[in-house]
Amino acid sequence: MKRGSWACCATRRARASLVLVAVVLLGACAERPNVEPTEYRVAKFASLELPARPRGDFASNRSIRLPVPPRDGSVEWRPVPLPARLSGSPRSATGPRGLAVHWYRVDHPVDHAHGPIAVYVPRFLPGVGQVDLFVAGEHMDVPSTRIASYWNRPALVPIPPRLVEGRASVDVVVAVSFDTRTGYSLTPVWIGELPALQRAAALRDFLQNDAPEALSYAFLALGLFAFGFWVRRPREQPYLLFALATVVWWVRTLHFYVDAVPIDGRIFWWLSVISLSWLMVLVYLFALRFQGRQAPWVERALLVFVVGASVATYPTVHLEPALASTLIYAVQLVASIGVTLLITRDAVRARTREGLVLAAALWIDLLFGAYDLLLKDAYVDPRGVFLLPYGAIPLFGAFLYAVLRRYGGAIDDVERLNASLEERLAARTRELDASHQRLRAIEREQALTAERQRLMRDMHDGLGSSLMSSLVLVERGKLQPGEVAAVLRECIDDLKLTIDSLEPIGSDLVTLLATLRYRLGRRLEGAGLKLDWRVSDLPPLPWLDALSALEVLRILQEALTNVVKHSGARSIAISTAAAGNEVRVLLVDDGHGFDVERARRDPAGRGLLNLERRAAKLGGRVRIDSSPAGTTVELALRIERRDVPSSSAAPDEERRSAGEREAGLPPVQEENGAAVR
Amino acid sequence: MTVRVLIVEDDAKFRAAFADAVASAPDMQLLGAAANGRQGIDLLDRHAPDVLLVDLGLPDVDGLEVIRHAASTQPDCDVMVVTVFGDERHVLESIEMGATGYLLKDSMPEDFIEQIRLLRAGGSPISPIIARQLLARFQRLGSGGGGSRTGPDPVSAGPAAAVVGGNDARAAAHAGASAVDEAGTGDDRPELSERERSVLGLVTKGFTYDEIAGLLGVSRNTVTTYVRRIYRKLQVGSKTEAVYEARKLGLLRD
Repeated sequence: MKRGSWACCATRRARASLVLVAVVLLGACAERPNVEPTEYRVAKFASLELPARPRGDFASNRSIRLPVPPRDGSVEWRPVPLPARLSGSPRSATGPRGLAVHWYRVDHPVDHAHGPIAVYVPRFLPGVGQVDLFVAGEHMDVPSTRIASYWNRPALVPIPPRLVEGRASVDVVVAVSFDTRTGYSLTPVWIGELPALQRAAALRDFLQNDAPEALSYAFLALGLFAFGFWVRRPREQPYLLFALATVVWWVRTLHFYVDAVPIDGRIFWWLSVISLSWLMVLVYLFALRFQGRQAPWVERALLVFVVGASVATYPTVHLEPALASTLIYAVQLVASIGVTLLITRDAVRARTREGLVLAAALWIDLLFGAYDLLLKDAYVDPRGVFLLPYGAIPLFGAFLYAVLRRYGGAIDDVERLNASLEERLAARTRELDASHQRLRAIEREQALTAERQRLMRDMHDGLGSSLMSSLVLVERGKLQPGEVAAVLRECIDDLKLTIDSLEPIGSDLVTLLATLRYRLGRRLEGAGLKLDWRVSDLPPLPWLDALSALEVLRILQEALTNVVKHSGARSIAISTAAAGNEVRVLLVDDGHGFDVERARRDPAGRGLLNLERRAAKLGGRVRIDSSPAGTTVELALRIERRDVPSSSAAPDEERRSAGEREAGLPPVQEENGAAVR
Repeated sequence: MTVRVLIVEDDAKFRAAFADAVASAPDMQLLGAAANGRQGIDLLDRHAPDVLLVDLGLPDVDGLEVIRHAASTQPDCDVMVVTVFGDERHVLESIEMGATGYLLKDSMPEDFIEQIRLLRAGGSPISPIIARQLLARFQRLGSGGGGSRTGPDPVSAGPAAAVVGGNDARAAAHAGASAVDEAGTGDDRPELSERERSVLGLVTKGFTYDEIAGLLGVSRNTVTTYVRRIYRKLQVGSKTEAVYEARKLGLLRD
């Protein structure tokens, strides 16, 4: 990385030079050849211990006024290589405070044929300290030595032309003043033409400041998104942790690029240091929660650590946070390695891709962190760039990857679930259809059986017995041809009524009566009986299905037959009436009447009992009044019958077929079944 | 004036019985007795009878097809469907095709000749069940409520609607609503007149033509003409319905 960045710088310089050459050739002063800036890897070194406590404080925005480096022979200058690294000891962080000044001097030959020159110090990394620049013994104002960023801003200082005028060379001294408990590191010093140095400084500025800044804001935006998601789904804690992590990251990254802050510099410094601990805790909580690992003691330990570290390092007079940071970072590094090992083990065991990616990102960030720690404390070449700000890329990348995979996985799951639900639903529907069809088939079968039984019973009772008795009479020669015809007509009537009962009449008793008249009326009149038809509208009888209709027809047919055969009546009035929950059909004849009680007791004449039995079957009754002036037969039927299931009584339903409707009836509806209210 | 009769009946016994009855009637002339539909149509085209007796269950051609042919080529011919007992559904279909009378195979022969005379005189027989179905059918055709004349409540549309009871009243309400819906289409749906509905209603209650004539204060003849008119309307109605359906399906353009 370090080498790469410098290689990159070199190519850029080369390219810039080409551009410059082009500009120069085209320009007015084309005679001046381009000269590369000089990187001084060796400097003359001198030092000075400052016995007195200086005014000012490195950790605040107040600069320390430094002694001017001597330009005579009062100090001994010895050559030292650059970069210079002086490692402090973290153990001494609480020790007594000392101050020293180190001077690095280079003598730059002045080429008057060229334009303005500048001094470029890529980086000065202090523990607790400050860098100043003297050119020809004059203190230069270094624009980026303010507290928050001077360790991370390249310093580019133009040399005023008056200082080089008439000289063959100019002496440039970099003065490093520092707390002796800490160390520092200093890169080589560049001196050369301003534009080339400007480009180099700009590139370094971009890598060290602008890019981390842009990244931190980008991730902050992502965090906002995650937060919105979490607000909608508070149970998805990883999203909240992600959001918080981006905020902490933003705080952490501030000190890389912000030059001035509106809060106390020491508190800001503390925030910058301790935010890395918080970030670590959030990241590990995220990883643990995301992998669904129940590790309450790890979580508790992390929280104790971060709270303890926050409190312990809060800026006080006793402890320089800048000094404590090394300690905190080191402890954090160790803790991070432990937790990362744990997370890696989980990821490897669970073999989830997002877990592995997350673990890899954590290891990368650990390496970055370790490198940064070394860089900070001057153990490696200070020309390197701090890498942890770029650690956000693998880290949040892994976050995003994990979250998206989980989200996408959840959507996939939902789709799969839906698909399987649909499948199961379809299967269940098919099953239901099949069982429904079986049921329908059984019902149809039952209906057919019931219908067959009904017809058979009816044929046996009516048609069959008439035919049999007639046959017996015919065989004995006791029946005249006319009488045979009469018997056959009766049989045909029976048949007609049976078939009529199958016709859809929509629960309408009046239509049933009309049908009866239509079938039998002509024969009754043929028998000399005058019909007085006085029916009127009746409310529909919901229970009047084919079976009941046939019973009604049989009752009335039998009553009429009795009138024709036995009463000697000349006319019969048929009327209807509705009263309360009852409808009535009245048959009033003008015959000679009979003794009802005797007829009922007579074992030979089952007719009356038969009528009553049939009526009871329908939940109704038959009343017979007879006198020598005539007989009244009254059939009373209930409009609503509780014992009839509503399915067969649905009045809207025209009879699809008698059989289907009968399926809804109790299979046998005998006398005791015909309960009345 | 002789009534010229053509018989189409595949059952030999019935064919013979019908033929004998017609032949022995002094005012009738038997033009022929076909045993199948094709022969029947052939005879029909050649002889142009006054009355066509046709069985529905023919071996080759559907009896309904013979009826349709007769009704379309010879509008003056009275078509009488011969059917077995209890086959009211087919009777209604036959009427839709153009039949104006029907005969049950078990009718007594003298009665059957009388039926032909009545038919020729312009009267049509009708049973309560057929009357009931006709009422329902006309309601379905969109003329049932007669709502435009008697008010929005189809239940009070007349005796006929009242007679058939609540369930049909509900059907009528539905039909009435659809009649309103379809009023804008400008279809000439045949509607039953007040009188015609009264007649049908009384038939469903079992009253005879004579009784109905008495109740309505008209002659028996008028009543039978009403029934004949109703049959015609059903025929037209079913055609209109077919056209309407075809239009709805986009088979026909307005």
